[in-house]
Amino acid sequence: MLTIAAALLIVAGIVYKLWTQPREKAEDVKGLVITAPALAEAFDTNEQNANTLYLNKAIEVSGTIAETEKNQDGGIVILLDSGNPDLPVQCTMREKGLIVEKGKTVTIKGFCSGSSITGVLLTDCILKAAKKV
Amino acid sequence: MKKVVIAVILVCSVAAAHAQKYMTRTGQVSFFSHTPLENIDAINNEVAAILDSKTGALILQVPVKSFKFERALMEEHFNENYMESDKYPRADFNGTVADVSAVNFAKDGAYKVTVKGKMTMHGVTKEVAVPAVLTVKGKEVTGQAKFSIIPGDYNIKIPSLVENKIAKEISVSVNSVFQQK
Repeated sequence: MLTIAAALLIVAGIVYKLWTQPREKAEDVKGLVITAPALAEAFDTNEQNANTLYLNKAIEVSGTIAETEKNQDGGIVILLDSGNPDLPVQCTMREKGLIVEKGKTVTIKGFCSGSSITGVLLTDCILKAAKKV
Repeated sequence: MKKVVIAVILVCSVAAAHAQKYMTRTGQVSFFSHTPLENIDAINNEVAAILDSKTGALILQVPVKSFKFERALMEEHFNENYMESDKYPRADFNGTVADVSAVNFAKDGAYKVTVKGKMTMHGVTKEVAVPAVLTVKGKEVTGQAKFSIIPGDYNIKIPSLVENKIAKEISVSVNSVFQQK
């Protein structure tokens, strides 16, 4: 009887842990280090190959902020200049109140969602470093 | 001669005004699954779309990995078990606003339209036709649509263990604010 109760307790504990497990954060995993132009070029040259290398993986990308905008939920979207105006690296930041300036060189870490007609996409991003140029 | 030049400029300006492209990189797509056991919803703010106001051509690209759920476990199951986002990273719509000529992009207002085309998701392409509303406000156009999809139509298999927790039809909402390109 005691064994069954203990087993049920363990199962309940596992289910609870899985149910409440936190989302994987960019800062908790090692990211692939790359520049914005190199990342965009990889997707521009061979999207399938680039997906194999970067899709759903943590990426640490450095580049110059070309533009910023807000999405419909008030989230900050940073576009990193990739040298290809049709394919910037588009980073949706996790922190909504983030203040960033155009022209700054930054390193952003996030998860790659692949690419679209508007750029190479990184989601759930954090700002790793910023320096004035 | 001067009059001819002005006329040419005017004609070109009018043609340009009618051939405007609208774009968004931050379109929103959400979905909702309701069953007596559980409600599941997710939102994606990273949808790319381009609309040609002259031809009505419309492209929508939805990065699957960018859907955000309330719980990490739901997100994991969605990506790994159902949508297989490693294999099929994007859901795409490629079609037209069928009655785009009824929309006056130069005049503020809400215009009811039908969007028709091919939707590709999870490696399966289907012809779809969806009622939508285009709301013109200055240089912005907001596209809104609500429709349902059946996961099985796109070869998305729901394991029997959880089939009572996932609706047979998933409600999808699109809400994208396009800017003039």
